[in-house]
Amino acid sequence: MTCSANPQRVTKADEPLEGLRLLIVEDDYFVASELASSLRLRGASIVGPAANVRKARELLGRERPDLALLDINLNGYPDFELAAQLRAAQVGLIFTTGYDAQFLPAQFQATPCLQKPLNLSALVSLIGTALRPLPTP
Amino acid sequence: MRELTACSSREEINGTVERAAQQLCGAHSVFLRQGTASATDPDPTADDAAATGAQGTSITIAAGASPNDALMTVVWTSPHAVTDLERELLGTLAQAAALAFRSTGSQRPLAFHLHAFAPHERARFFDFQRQVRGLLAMVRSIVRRMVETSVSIEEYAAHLEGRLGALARVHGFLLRAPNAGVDLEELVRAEFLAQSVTDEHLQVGGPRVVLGAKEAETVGLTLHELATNSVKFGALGHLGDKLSVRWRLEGPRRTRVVLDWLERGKRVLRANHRKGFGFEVIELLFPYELGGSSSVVVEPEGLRCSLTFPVPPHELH
Repeated sequence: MTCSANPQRVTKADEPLEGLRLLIVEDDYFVASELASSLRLRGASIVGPAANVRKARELLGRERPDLALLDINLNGYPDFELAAQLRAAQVGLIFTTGYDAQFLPAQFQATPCLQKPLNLSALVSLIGTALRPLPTP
Repeated sequence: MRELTACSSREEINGTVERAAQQLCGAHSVFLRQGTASATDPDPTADDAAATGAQGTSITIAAGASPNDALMTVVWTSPHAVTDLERELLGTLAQAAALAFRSTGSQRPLAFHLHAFAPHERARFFDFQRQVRGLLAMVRSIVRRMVETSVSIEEYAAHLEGRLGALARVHGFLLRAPNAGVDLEELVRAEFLAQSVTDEHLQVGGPRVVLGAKEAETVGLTLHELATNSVKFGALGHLGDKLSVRWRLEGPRRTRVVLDWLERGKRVLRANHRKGFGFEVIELLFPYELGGSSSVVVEPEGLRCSLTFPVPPHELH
């Protein structure tokens, strides 16, 4: 965790996400583009958005985000493989989903999870939580 | 599902299995036999189904290999893309039927294997939850995004109503039967019906293509934008002009749909109409969501749009 764990990072009140690289994985175009532009306005730089796992992996080959917003239902069924890969690479995770949080498998029960439709201010404050270093299992 | 334990005759088992397939997979009917296929009659339950004159989609499942096991053919009367979940559900159902057949002879208890259904029912409920929330998220984003491109509140309201109508049609088709998919031709014709476009303007056709939920939503919205645009500025708004919508399946396993929307006539879109929400749907949303491509060209005789997108493999008929 280079950038994300850096306590010296400059954060302005109107740009609370300044300097953060956020990967967005979301299959709905309008939801993804709205999320990207709102988070850019708050200072984040956006990796993606990616509509599917394949695109997300392509992006991860070139860029390393600090945090990923991951829709866990792409192509019609829940998929946690990309989530596991991101966690192994120590990228922070927030799930966005239409499912209830109880749907999460045991190893991701502690991962923050936001229900759709997303509440943007809840998301911004969750990003702070998600970026705290994970306790070692 | 526990009902199978109480079945004491073959007819009861048949009825219970059929009701389960109808409720779980939107199937129309189930043909069930005890005993596996033989060399002389490789597919007896499929023959039973064919003998009723049923049309649509069917799948045959053999449970186990002993002579007491079950052979089951499930029929949907409209085109149906059978999902992995449905295969799994129906496979479990066939196994349950095989065991029920045995117990009608030996009174063997059956409770143990029926619990397998509980997680699937839960998965179906979660899936429904996800669909509703996903749809609401999408509608909210559309409502917000349209504010940036609308000129007046009247125009905003009319366009929003049209777009919600298009989404409602797609979801109307999807809700007819869970996981049944949507027939592409039906989707195209429903859009024209909603726009009150009469047949003399139109040529519509192509091979049978069944779209999954996401594909149907994206294709439905894109067709709606093309049709709305054409009514306002193109061939559908001008008597005597023509529109043809034709599609074909390409690739060795027929996994790519290429749909051509071709307007021919005197009324041609002016270039400055290309910067709106509708064109964002066609040129950006469509390729993003379906991993395909789209191109819009305004030719002297009218607009030409080509949409390409992947679909699951289609059986060759």
